[in-house]
Amino acid sequence: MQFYAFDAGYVEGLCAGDLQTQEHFVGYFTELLHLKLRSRLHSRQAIEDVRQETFARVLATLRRENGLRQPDRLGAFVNTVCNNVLFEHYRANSRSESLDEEDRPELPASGASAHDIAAANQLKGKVREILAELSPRDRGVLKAIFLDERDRDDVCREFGVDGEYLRVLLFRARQNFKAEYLKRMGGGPDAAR
Amino acid sequence: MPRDSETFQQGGALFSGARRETEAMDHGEAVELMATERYLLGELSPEQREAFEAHFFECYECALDIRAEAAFLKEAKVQLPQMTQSAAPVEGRSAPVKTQTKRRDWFGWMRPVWAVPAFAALLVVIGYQNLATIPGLRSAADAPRVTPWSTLHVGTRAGAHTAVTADRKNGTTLLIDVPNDGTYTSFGFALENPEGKQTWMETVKAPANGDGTISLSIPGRGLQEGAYTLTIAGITPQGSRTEIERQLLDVRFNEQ
Repeated sequence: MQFYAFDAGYVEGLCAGDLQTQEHFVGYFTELLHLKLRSRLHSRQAIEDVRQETFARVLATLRRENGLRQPDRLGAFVNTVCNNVLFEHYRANSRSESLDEEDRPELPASGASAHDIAAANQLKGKVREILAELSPRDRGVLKAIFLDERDRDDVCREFGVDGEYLRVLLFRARQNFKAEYLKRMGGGPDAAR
Repeated sequence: MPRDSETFQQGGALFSGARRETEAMDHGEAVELMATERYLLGELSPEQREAFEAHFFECYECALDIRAEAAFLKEAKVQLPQMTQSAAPVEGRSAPVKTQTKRRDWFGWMRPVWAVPAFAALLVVIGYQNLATIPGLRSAADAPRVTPWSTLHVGTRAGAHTAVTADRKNGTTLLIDVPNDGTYTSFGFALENPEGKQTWMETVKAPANGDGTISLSIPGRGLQEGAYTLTIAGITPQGSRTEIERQLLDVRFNEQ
């Protein structure tokens, strides 16, 4: 399996303030950071604070002389910085976690272009198609776990499936969806060039 | 060449309270573990979760997998209520107007006007089955058959594809090399068709002849072209079951 690597050109573009590279960097890592942070922080505001602080520190380090000696490990570096920011956030908020605003409304997405909207509609259509091809039981399982957030063991017992069945169900859905997602959203570092 | 920890010390030095970094999960391990699915299902231990995160921030392939699956689930959450509601009873509406429904007469066919031709047709069908269909099937089942075959080595590569040639009439045979070191006393097989439906499962004893080969014949009837998934689990003498192989079988018919 070949690993995709960020390279020196990408990091140079970031440091030089190349808009396309910066947009790609923010878009790519925002998704990964959200996935990482949502299981650790309960407030959207806290997630947003940690994300922004992570980006600020990463960019500050990159812009210093000899900022990152191994540009191909940019992803690992972002993760490390995020871990540190998160750690500091825990310490700073250990006594004031309740100040997090649980029900704060999600910030609206800014400046979605016609292309973005069309891509989002295509993805919605693909999801609908995949869901429609599932059996009613499989749709019921997904709904019970991800929408109703019911206990997995209870759901498995009720629908007569096991954990392996769930994982394979998700794996297949992802395989069906991935090509469309890649086409619409792009993804790798080369997408910025 | 600086070591990774030294590299990240550049960033770590900026922050107070630097933490010990978790070692990233290996890509093969992530695939084997179905880490993407387990991560989104919340099934990983805290250590595994950190190791997988350290991995997918570096691995484009796994990052794409997890982004795609998360995007799918996010949209599925929006659409699932409508798709699962249609079958459920709708509440909160005004009482439905009682309509005159036509009662189905289950025993109508037994009235004399229908009974005679119905029984006559039944006799013709039974006669044809006894005289032609059943003897034909019996001789076909008893006759030797030649089927295309493919070999499959367990433990080659997770998620590997194996091209399988099949005959529309006689199907295909798979010769499966299973581990024969005595760890497992039997093996569980499960086959899923290209739609993801499990079509067959069976548990067989480990081969006693020492060569560790099991043959699996898949009949042509019902077989279709596409990617089947064959899952093999090893079962220990204590009864614990471990998945040891998951192979995608690209079934293609030999057009003659």
